[in-house]
Amino acid sequence: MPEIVAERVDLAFGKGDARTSALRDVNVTIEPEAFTIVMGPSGSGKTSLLTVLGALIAPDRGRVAVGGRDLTSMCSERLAAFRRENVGFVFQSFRLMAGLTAEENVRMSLSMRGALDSKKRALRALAEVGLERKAHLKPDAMSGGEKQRVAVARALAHDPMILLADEPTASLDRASGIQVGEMLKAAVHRPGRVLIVVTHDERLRPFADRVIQMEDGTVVTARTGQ
Amino acid sequence: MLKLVHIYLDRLRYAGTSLTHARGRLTIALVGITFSAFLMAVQGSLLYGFTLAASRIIDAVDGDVWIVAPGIPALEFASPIEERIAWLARGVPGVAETGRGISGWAPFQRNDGGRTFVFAVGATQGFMGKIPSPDGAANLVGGRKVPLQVDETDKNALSETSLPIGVQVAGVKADLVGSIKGFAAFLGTPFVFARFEDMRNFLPYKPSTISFVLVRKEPGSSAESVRDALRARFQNVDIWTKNEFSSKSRIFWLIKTGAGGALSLAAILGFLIGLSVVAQTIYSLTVDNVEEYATLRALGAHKGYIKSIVLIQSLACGATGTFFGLLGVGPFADAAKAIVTWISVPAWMYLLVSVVVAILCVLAASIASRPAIAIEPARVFRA
Repeated sequence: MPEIVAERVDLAFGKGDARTSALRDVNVTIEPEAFTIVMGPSGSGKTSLLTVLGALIAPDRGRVAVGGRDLTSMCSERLAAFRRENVGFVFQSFRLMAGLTAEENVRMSLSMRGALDSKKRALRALAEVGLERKAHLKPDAMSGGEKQRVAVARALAHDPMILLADEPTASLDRASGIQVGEMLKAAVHRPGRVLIVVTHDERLRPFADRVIQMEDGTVVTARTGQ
Repeated sequence: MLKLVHIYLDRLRYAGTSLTHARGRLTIALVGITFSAFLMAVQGSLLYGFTLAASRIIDAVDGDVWIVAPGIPALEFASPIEERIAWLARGVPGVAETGRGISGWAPFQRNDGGRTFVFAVGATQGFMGKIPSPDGAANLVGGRKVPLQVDETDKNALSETSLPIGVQVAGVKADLVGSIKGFAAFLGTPFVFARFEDMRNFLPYKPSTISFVLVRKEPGSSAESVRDALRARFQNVDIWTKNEFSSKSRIFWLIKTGAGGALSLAAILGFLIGLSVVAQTIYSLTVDNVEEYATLRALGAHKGYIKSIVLIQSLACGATGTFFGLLGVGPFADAAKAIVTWISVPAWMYLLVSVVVAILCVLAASIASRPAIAIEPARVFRA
């Protein structure tokens, strides 16, 4: 699947006087097979950009297209179907299901997508992040780094074309942060995959092929390399 | 097909695991549903039992058509009618046989010196139907001149625990010879069953009057056609089929009396409280999980997936709570019979409550799944 294109995207939250602009006239193109990080101060619109590019929300204005498919014209169920088929998410707060084991967390994500061999694939995905021996553990019995690795396994298990990560290392110690960065870097080598990581974490900068700098809801710079 | 089974098994696994993970929340939900199912079944059983008790004698006595004094709402209000109606009715087309009966309130002198009132009922031989004949019990205990029977649960109310024993009804010496089952008092005053011939001694009926005529129809005739024929023949009396008189009596006691009305209202309120607790419980359970549903939506779960998870959890809670709630109904009803003799828990009451709770769980799940579906998936990025 080719690039993600955002053209003249505006996004605001709230109503009336409380309405706040999150994205203003954003134009950006994200190339596949590149480790793209989005940086910027708090409130600069990084996460809002991720929600729009990840088909979680439609912009108020402008156009977002993935491989030529216009996401802005899709209804919420079609957006959900698009995410289900094409997108993997890694969240800052992991967002694992507390009642499920690591294996079940990954497996549930797969079965939701209709996978018949969900158990086998879940165990393989956990093995790829080095957690095959902890597949039976629930999130509350795991460290932050391990939880994030489960989240990465969950995001990659269905082999998505787009991988989006929001502050994936914010809650992790240095070693775990580096480990997650390496995993994401490895994930981007899949042909055609788009990877976007929103982060404050300078530790991830060395992994980046491209850095998008945001401020006040707009893209101020988008440059290739570290 | 295999894929569908696999997908639904995975949903069941997730729904079950997610439900049992939050044990505290689940326990509270189960307690709520258990109590609700119990309340609905007990209130339903009280109402059902009262309904049966309100027409028990009418239903038990063997008559297809009843002839009673005009305007009486129930057997307990029986007034005198001419006895000759019983003889004349035999000439009406469709009538096979007629029987006579006398019933009414009579003072009962207890052996401890206390007095109470009883409702005495007697019908001619062969018409008592399901009510065992006092003669039979009298023969078992060596014969008595004026044999009486009472329900075993009312023996204590009459302070007579060992039978036979001599008593007085309306100043007439009689013998309480036996106890029967299934004819307990529902108005607080025991039913006492006597032979028709003895009833005139207990109640101030003239020799030419009785309380009711019982009509047995000929084979092939309908109760309604016999009723119509009798109505055409006799004025100044009310003539009802057994079912009509039974319904009339139930409606009177249930709706037109304060006690019955209060009981009916309590049953309705009990049901409504039960229903609202179940609905509220399921709703809270779902709303408490809304963050997990937001994650599922962000990951791409379609609405049907979320709905099915909520429904599975709702039905699982409903089934478990109902099981435990209904488990206590039988023992509770048995214990309550010492005070509320008419309580009756039919087998279908368990099914009814289970179905009602299941329907409610489906409704509650459909309402509760709305916020879970409507949740904005983008909130997953707010840490």
